[in-house]
Amino acid sequence: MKFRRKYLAIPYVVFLFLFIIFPIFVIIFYAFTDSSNHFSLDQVINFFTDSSKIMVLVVSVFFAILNTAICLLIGYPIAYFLARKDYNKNTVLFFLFIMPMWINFVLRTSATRDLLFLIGLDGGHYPYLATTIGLVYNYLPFVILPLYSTMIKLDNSQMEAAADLGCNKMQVFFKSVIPQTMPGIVSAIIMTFMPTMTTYVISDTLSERNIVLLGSSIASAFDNNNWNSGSFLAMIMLIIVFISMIVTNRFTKKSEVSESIW
Amino acid sequence: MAESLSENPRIIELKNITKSFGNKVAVDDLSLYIKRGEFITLLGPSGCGKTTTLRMIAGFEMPTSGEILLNGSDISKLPPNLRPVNTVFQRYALFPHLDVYDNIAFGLKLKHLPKDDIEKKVKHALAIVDLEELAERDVATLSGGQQQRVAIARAIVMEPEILLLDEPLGALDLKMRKEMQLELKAMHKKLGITFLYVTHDQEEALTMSDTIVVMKDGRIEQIGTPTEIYNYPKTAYVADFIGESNIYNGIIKDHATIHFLNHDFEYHSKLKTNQKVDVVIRPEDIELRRTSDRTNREQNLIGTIISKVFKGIHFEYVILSGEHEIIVQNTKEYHVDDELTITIDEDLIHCMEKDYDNNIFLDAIINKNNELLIGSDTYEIDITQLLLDSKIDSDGYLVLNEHRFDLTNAEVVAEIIPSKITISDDLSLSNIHAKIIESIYKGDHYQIVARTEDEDDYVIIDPYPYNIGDIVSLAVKKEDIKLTLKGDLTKYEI
Amino acid sequence: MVRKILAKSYVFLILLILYLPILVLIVFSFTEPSYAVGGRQNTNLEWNGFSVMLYGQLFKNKELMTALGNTILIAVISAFVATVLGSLGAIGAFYSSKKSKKFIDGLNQIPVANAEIIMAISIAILFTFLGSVIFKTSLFNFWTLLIGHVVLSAPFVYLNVKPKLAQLDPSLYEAALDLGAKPRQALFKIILPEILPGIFAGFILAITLSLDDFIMTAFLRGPGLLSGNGNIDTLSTYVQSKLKLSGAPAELRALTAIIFLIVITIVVGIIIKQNRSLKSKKERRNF
Repeated sequence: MKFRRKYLAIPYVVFLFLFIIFPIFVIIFYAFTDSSNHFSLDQVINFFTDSSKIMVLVVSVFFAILNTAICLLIGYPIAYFLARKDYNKNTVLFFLFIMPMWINFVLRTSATRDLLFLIGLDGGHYPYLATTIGLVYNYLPFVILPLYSTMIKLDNSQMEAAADLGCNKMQVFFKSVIPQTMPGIVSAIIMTFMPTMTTYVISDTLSERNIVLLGSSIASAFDNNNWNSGSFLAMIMLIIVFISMIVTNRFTKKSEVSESIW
Repeated sequence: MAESLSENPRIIELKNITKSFGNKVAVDDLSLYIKRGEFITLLGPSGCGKTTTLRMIAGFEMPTSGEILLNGSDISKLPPNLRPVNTVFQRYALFPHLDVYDNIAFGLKLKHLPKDDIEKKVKHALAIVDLEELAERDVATLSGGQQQRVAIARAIVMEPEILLLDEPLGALDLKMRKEMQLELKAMHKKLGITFLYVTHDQEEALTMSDTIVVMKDGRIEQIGTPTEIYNYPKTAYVADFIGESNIYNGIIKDHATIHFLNHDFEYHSKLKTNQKVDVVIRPEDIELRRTSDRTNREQNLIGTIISKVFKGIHFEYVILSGEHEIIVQNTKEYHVDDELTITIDEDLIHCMEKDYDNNIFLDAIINKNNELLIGSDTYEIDITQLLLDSKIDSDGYLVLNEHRFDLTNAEVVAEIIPSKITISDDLSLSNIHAKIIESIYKGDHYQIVARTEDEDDYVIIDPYPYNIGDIVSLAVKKEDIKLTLKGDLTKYEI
Repeated sequence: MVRKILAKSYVFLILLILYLPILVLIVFSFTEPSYAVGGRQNTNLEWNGFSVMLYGQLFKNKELMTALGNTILIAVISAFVATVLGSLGAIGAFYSSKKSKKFIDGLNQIPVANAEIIMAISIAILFTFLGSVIFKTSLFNFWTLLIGHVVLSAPFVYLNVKPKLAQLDPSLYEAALDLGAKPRQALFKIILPEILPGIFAGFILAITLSLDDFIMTAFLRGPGLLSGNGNIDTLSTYVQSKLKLSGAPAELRALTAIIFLIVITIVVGIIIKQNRSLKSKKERRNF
């Protein structure tokens, strides 16, 4: 066979098909079958009639929104200050903010738990507060990174033009800065929203297992060998992933998102 | 001319080369030969197929059909690494991770030449391009002109039989470009190898080439020496593309007279009476004299200066005579609103038989609504044909990827095939009205010529005859109007 | 001026809060834990006088050391595989037709946007199914774990390499062919050196993702590596299992302190290197 550059992609494409695409179909198969592999809508009925399962979804979405919002509120001004030359001239501070990313997150969560115990905010007594603190601790660097990378490219002349045309400082911020940093905001949301629902180690550890998020209930379904119910929950997640993909695609071009993350 | 060409061995011969990308034909049944040792230039606007032709000779594109002969043997299936041909690329394509020396030595190292030979050859190449001191430099630290020289050295060190140059001066500024033009010409002389040069810059082509091949729509429009192409353009298209020119519709009145610009000029020719012609007058060939009270206003062509621009060695005037504009270059200074007598020497009038096979409008303009203006008539057109895969955005700009083009007032050549024009007695069918001036039976159809109020002639093929003098309406579908941009598309980028 | 001070103090306040748990943990890494009746370690933070005992204990904790070794091995191996696979994928896709390029780009975007747990579980089901129905034995071992980590990181290698290819002058490859290089030579001598920074960044990112991973490991591990016949534990799964039972063993404080030190060293190194290259760029410009 003659060498052609495009053939180099074949191993990767085969790999993606075997271990990404095909397994997704396996999940969909199990979501709609029973333990003897016959077609069944048991899981659909199960899910929508079991209020505790619906609650898990509601609580998961609640934490995802809450965590994303808090991280953006804290992280946006920080990214702005770090990226603007008039506030900060070197990259050391920026590195300090994203450095926790390189310490194992379970280890970090454990440290947070120890601290919360020390000051009496343990998850046994304050599960919601402890979980929220743990989530924000973990995801703040992931929000600051993409925001910083878009803000470093902020077009000063556009902001000056806005001011020149009579915008006050507030208006400049909302009409020029926010729209320009939209790609960064979108990727920050991508990096927090979905993982909050599924990275169950944080919520399990910090709420002392008082709060069950979607990831946690999927994991325990599989731990109990209940593939069908676990698959159905995973499929619900998959639908949420799909919706969020469509929504984010509408806000920014795909390339901008994927490139500004890293 | 042809005989003297055939005495020289042909180093490259293209035989009926066609190249299509999808259903777009880039090069259309092109045949051409190149003499050993000459400096030949493929000249034409963007999209005329000149670069595709070069890339097929280099081996980067395979022709859809046809043969490429090198020294008589077919190389059209050979990959580029096996062809004794080297290329200087538009943006140099230097290897950024190698220094100047290693860039030039790259091809020699692949040939596994002994180290000493490589060094000798690289040094020689560096000397030719005058860069001996920069061998150790990182290519990223070089100026555009220096990078250009490295690119040339890298190609000539391979001692190719033909050096292909794909718009190599396009990225340089004007002063640098002029300098490099002369240097390339000198290099060609010194090396004695064949240069095939591709450009859209007619001045560059005229300055450097032994032979110019003017291309249009994937075909050759004219081949000749720079002086032949300049002085005796075969078609109005060539005349318009090479140098500045005034092109008018003319009619041969008799064997010694031609009528154009609403005036009779002395012109001896063997063309038949009433033959319609395109008349080309170069702006520098027009003589001006102040009109005085003694001037015979009946016998002389008289015009008024409406604009004046100082161009360094001469002034360029636009003179209005009747409804015609005449561009004139003259060293004498006149002023706007001066009334002048215009004379043109018989030898400097160049006539071309009008091509009545096709409707070609050289002075068409795109207006701000992306419509085509021919004279004062407007047509709906599809401007996306000017750029493959482009779209029109909501602001009416042509977009492709990140590039946006504002084609308002862009000058284009418009072409309409006679059979695509719908002609009708019903004047409400379109707002383009014309008077029938000719209707000839051609065996199975009538060839009709209709003239609009602006004196634009349309050739129409229709199964039915129309009476001379009738007023008719003309309609053309927008997909049937073919456009070619004058000059390069990049100048319209915003 | 006031705004600047306010901004600075806000930044430093958040920074302080962000690092508080780790700093507190480091402080408590220099003390001894107390033991409850029955020899059980009290994992709560309490100060029992200065001591470096935990640092000694850390290296004696075999389970933890095995987990640490596994973590590093799997990170390096999976990053290597992911880098080769992802880079080749990006190169191949870039030089494919527009249509297949778009297709592979889209395919690559699925694992990027997808939740890790969905991918982990779907691969786990696939192997459980294959193992129980076809092979009649458990398929979970080092290889399934490797697949999981590669799924996690290869798409990001792809995303790192792709823009580097797009920045290349498309004529470079043709220029190499033109000078007599075979397609393979042109690729390895010209294209590869040019995109090496992207490949390297992808490799580092792959290591980071693998080091930090919990979910893939939890679902796809089996016996192997340093764990021998036992299930492979990485740092994440080890710590998580301890947290689930009683609380993190006190030696982890020492480990956290050491990791923190290593990360700081690396970051300082990066910053120094950045400043240097910035300086030399400036000097070059002046030259």
